[in-house]
Amino acid sequence: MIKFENLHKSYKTKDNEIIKALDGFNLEISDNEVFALAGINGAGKTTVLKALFKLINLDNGKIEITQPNSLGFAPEIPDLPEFFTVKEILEISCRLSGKKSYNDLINKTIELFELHTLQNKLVSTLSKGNKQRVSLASAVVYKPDIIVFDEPTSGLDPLGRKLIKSVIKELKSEGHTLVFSTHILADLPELCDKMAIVHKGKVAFSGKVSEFCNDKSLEALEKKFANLVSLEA
Amino acid sequence: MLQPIIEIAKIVVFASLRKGLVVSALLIMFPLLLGAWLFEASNTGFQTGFLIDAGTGLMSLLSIITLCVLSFEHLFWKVDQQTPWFYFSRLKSRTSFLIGKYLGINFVLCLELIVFALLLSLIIFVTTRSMVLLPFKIAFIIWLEYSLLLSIFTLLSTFLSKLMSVGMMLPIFFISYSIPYLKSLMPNWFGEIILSLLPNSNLFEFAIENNEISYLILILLYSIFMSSFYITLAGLVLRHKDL
Repeated sequence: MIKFENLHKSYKTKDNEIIKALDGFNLEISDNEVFALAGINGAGKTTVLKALFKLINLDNGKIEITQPNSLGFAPEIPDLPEFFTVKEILEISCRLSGKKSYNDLINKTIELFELHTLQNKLVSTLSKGNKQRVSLASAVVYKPDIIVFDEPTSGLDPLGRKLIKSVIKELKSEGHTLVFSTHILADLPELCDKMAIVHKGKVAFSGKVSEFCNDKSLEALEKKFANLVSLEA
Repeated sequence: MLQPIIEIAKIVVFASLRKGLVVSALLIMFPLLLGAWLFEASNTGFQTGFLIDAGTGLMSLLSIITLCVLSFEHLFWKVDQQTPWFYFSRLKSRTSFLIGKYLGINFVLCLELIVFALLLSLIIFVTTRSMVLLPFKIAFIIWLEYSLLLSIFTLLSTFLSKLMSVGMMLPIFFISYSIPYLKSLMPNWFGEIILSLLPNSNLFEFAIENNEISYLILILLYSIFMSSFYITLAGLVLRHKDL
């Protein structure tokens, strides 16, 4: 389980203005759950993820992780090292995370993400969508207990999005806990068990998608989301 | 902790080699050396001393360029851009990122200097039929000195931008050659402590002129100690930084 307790984080801008990125953020994510963090740009989603990876020092609050402490992350904009092939990137990812034997893991990941034809290509020569696929693959290849994706489907074409959706389902069936941030509400009913709406550094809603909105049509979700966000404003 | 450090160092080395950094440095070095040799051979006769001076001067210049290029690319990753998630989401310690990068750049620098020294010795050997080891000794001392500068660059990269760091490096570089003079200006314990925390490049200059092996060992230890000090400081700064 991941438990976020009363997280506070503020930043000072160049004009000495204080921005509260997290303002009393509370959330619980159970094991083997696919959890979505939805919210508008600047809501605090990425700050929460950074806090989870201890990349920022919180002003207040704490994060408890009860599972073994192994995390995987794929950012929205892939930042893979250049001049390496896809297969080498997966190998590097395994070694960076401390794995010693990883050939089977790499082969399974190549299969899962359908990277057969790309595995010997340099990452720098790939398209944006394919880089995103490799980035996601490199985050799961070493089988972390908790996998975090930041906007996993944002740079992908419809086929790529379909693939990622099947990957998320596969990872869930393997027993991983998955957390992903998104602003594509259409993905929510199909992908996640639970969701949270993050707004102004707080959780405006947390629960099942059906609890958020009975009607799973995109229009109804968007309307409900807009209402919630404007109420919280 | 060791495996991720080695991995990061390998990434730096392979990326640099695949980009052709060492080869391009050699391509610059080779015609210059050849030109110096032809000039000497055709006008005043071949002079080993002149060629070693010109060659090691070039070695030093190209190494500092390499150091800057690699530091800019690998150390000053994206302080004002996005977080390098690829590393930080997988590493248990932020310091291992810095150590890995430092070792990787250092290895490329070492490789480049070995090739330069080999090239210089080869030209001398072909001309005079005698093996001269002086280029290797000078290459080793240049490497030690620049390893120290690299560790300072590593420290600066944790809180300054590229431009600011270069701006800071210039006075540090000049101060490093003026330590004895500055010590005479500050003959108290405070000055002694402050100046002993700064790099002393005079030690490396002296090592080039001195033929004792014990002196080389001494500057090797000095370089390792000071570099470790700066990298430790860099690790402490990065640990408390929001990424």
